Amino acid sequence: MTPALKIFNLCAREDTATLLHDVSFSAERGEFIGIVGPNGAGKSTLLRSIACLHSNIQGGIEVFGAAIHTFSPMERARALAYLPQLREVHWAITAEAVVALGRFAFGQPDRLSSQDLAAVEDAMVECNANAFRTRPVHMLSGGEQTRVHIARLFASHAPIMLADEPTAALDPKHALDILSALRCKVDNGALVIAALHDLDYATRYCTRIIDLDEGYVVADAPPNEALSNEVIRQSFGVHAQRVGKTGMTALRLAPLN
Amino acid sequence: MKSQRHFIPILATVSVVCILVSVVIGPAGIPPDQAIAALFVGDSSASVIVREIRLPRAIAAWLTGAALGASGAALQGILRNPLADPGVLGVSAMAALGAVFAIYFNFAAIAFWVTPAAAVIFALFATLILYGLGARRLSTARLILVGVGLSSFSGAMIALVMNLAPNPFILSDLVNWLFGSVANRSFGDLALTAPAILAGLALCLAAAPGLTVLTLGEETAATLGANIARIRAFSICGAALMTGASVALAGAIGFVGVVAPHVARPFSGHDPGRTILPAMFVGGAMLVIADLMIRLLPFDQELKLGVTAALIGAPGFVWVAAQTQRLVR
Repeated sequence: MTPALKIFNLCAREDTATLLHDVSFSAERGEFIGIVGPNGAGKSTLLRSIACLHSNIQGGIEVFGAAIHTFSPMERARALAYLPQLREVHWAITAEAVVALGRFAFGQPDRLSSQDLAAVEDAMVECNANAFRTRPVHMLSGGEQTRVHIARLFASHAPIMLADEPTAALDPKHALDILSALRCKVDNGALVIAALHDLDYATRYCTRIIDLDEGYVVADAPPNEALSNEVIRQSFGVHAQRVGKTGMTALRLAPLN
Repeated sequence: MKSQRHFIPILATVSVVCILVSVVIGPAGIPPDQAIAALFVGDSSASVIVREIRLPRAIAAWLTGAALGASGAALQGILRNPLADPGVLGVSAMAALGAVFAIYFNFAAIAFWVTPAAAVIFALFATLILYGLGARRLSTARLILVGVGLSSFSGAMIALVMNLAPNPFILSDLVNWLFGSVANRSFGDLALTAPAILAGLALCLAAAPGLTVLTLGEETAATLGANIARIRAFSICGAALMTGASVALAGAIGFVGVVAPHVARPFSGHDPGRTILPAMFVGGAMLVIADLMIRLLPFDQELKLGVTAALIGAPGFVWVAAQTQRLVR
């Protein structure tokens, strides 16, 4: 079977700096891949490269067996949805209107079909964004804005979802809700690849972790292996310890000395 | 979301009413009922005045305002900046420079369409310069400074041409371009510029859904399926066509392009793509009213439309700038 996403020998450069070195992996639907690594490790670059936003790349990216550059922008948008780290909204449009833009690749924004409307409706519910749907996005709190953008991501119904720090600026309850919602998408057959900063969340929700360091893949395995105390110590430079009973363990991090 | 469509017929009706009022009122003292009748039948002096002088003038004012309002809305959408406007950004001034060159070097004698074409080409050139810089994530302040630079440059070039003008006739011709006026326009002038304005509007409307999705920034828009290069080309060429043609018709008139979209935005739910048509109607009505005021004000020398528009529009620009500071980075 062809994998949902196959990446081989991916290198990304910016001017003279190499941001990704020879990254290769393939991923199936039903996987929740957490991309972790210290700041500047190349997490965002990897997601941006897959979303075709990085121009200076070498190597191959295949989506459902076809090279990504053979897709038209609309086809690509229907296969692959992307949530950037920096989420711009330039005009005073409503939360509802932003979520509806997630359906752009299915028609025109001012002529939503009943299917589009249903997708928007479901996504708003999944992200708990119904309470402020008619308010302008720039008036919302940071956490509410994040939920609107994730609802936009969900509304696309894309089988592959890329999310750059989906839980940044969210309080614990909403962060956990969003991770559960992403996990629910995964259980329904989506492939989710998310850059995550919180290693504890990553351990709990992801099915697989890719650990990047200075553009190299240093680990690619299930969470407990890829985020073992030893790997965390080496790539993040902090001391890690698992505390608590089996099934409810938490990750405690401390400076090395 | 859907109720906003109903505003278009209302705005269109307002425009038609403005034009009709402008046709009915004037210094010739024709009674309103006769003026309306003269619009459709008869060949009395009243019908000549109404049909050959007032009607083309009112339509010229409307077309100019409509073109500037729509191109302002399109430029604001593509630059994602509520202060973008062909006048503020120097596009109108560059178009005027193109027209002035065509007149001064007598290219206008080659063919009747050379002056409008020169205005459109210079407008396109100015828009490309702005976009080239804007693509580098230029802040609003710097974008407007580039516009000030373009305006100053074309102003200086026009001043140079006036300096070197061989006779006062060319000089008075040039003043018309600089200050903007729709006096003494004929249906021939309208027929020459209206197709360019329509073509520009069609291009901008084709880019409109793209402008809507650009609300989320260029990168996100690209991942949502927008063809950024196409949206860019369509809206920039469309805005330049409309601005160039409006300058060819009436000279450089400022501030309509920033005030009209701002007034229109609540009608479109602040959606930049759906602001183009409302901004067109609002801009057209604004200039028809401004021109009507000019004709009614009791001055010996008629005021220029561009002067009146700036007198009203400049405070409007300051008002928009003060109101939108939250959204401008």
